[in-house]
Amino acid sequence: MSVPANNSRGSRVVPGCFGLVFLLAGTFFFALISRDLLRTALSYHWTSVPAEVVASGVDEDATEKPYIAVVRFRYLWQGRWRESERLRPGGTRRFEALHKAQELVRQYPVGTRTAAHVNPAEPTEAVLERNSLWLGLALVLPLVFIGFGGVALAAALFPDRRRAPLSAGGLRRWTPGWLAVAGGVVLILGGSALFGQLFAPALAKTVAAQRWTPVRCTVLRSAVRESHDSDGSTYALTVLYSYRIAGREYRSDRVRFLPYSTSQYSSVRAEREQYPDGAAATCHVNPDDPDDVVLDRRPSAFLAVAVMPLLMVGGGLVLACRPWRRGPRRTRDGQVLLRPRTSRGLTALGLAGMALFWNGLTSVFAAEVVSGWMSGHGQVFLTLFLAPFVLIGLGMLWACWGAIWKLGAPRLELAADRASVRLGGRLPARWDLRGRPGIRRVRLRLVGLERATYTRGTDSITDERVFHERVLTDVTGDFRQGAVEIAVPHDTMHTFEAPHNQVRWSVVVTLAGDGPATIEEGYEIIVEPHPC
Amino acid sequence: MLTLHVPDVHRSVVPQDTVQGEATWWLDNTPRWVEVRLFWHTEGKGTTDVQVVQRQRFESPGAHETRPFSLTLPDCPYSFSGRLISLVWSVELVCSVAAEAAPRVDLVMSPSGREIRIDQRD
Repeated sequence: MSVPANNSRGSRVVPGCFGLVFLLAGTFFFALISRDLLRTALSYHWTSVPAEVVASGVDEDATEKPYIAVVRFRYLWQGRWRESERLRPGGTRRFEALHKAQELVRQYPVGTRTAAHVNPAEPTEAVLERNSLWLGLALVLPLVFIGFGGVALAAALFPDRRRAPLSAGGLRRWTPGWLAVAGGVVLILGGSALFGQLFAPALAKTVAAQRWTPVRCTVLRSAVRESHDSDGSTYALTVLYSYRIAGREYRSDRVRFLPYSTSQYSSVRAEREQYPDGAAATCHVNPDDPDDVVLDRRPSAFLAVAVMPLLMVGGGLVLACRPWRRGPRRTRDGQVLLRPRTSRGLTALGLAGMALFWNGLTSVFAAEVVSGWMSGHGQVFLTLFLAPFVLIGLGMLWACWGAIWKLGAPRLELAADRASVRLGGRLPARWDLRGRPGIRRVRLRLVGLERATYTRGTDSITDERVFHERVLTDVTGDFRQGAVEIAVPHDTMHTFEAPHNQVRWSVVVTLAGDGPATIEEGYEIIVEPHPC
Repeated sequence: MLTLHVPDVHRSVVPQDTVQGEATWWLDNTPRWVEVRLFWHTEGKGTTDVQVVQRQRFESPGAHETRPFSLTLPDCPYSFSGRLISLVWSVELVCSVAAEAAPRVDLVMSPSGREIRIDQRD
């Protein structure tokens, strides 16, 4: 059976259009990012000269971004002092939030001696900082768009009029090992960048702020700020407040370390009512830096979303390390320890991560829904919509609890001379129960399994079917060890592994104690073909 | 036109056996390459997996030719048939200019020369 190429013109128009859109969009953003990257790279060839900060502060006007970070410095160029106010090429000095302008200005107090970078072709162009070359990583996404769009467009413009031979599928396969490593590296880099940029600073500040000094402050102005986008309006709380340290007045508008906006106007308005204009409040000041302050130092619920990039890093590590699995473990007398196909620890970790991620995200919306009902503005539709997600989250917590309980449960150690046996062969093995007592029944079965993975829509489904099952031993009592002989039939299928289809053999161990809970684990064995 | 001929005696084989046959092509233009491929593929519920095990490329092919080929099978995997998956060994004739389906001959490879059946539970 060969795979025919679909050549009708009508069936090529839509994919061709999609391909063109992806190709054009990818090329546009690639050009934009490349231009900025080139400018950044060129700035690394500018000349470094001595510089001194002569003015540093925050100005204010009445525009949409009213706070202007002003850092003026003088630098020495060819024996002449010049002045500049540019911190970095293309960098912004205007901010919507006062504390962001203050953070920038705090890095360069008056009198700071540092180095300025001067464009030798245009000496009036001088900056204190250069943009990071890590910007280059941003080229990956438009390249993916260009690749995808180019392939789709080429397939539409130049259709393959031949029927693709079935064997062609086997010639184009990627090496799974390197693909896994590449995917793992991308996940690690992406997750690290996301966490480092979005969450790590807020997390660090939240922890440090627990030791900051509470100081009385006065609310100068509070408001609910509305923002519009294609998805609708969102609302955020803004509070401008002043406080005094050592006789000097300071101002800030940082409410929390991880600001957020929400579509629930009522909840933001209720929060604003805690900070009416002119009211007294308590802010928390960094004892080492009076400019560093926050109104609410409690950990924000949104920090739970920080789990997502950490899961990316964890998943990337697992993926990248998978091709380099360590060799089999051995007992003291040199026997091979057969291992369960799924590690209890990794299962518990994976379930805990999923439960944390799911419930972390869901809890943010659930908190809003609960807050809405408590303030008399409950939304029935949103509540009903969220209910299944909450139930799934509870189910994940239950599964996670089961996996964690299993970590401390007794485990069976299965050892043999080798981890493989030929078709028609016999493999003597020894089993030992480790962990706390309480197991009353030990059952070992040899199981052969077909396993097929396919795609249905956007889901990947895996079906399994047992084609061989034989009880090796079934003992009841207070046994802690025993011996079995793993005998494989002569006329059956050996172990077979392919990306989507497998034949697997395992020794399935069932442990039952006095209670209702049983533990079942499969220990993989390799069944080899007959010797030729 | 492409055709592949494998005698019946070579269609049921054991591991490390040799599959011999003849490849014939009759084309309008001289192809850049003509090749016989020995491969296995899966059929059934799961997404198809394919693995090419050996190729024999015919040097300097003409537009109309018949050439013999000889391919050696590996130790495994055996041909088998289950409820979810079947594994089929095949020989396929492919060339650079053909506009029709690549002819293919299915084989059975196992120690007994018969397909391993795992579609019944035992």
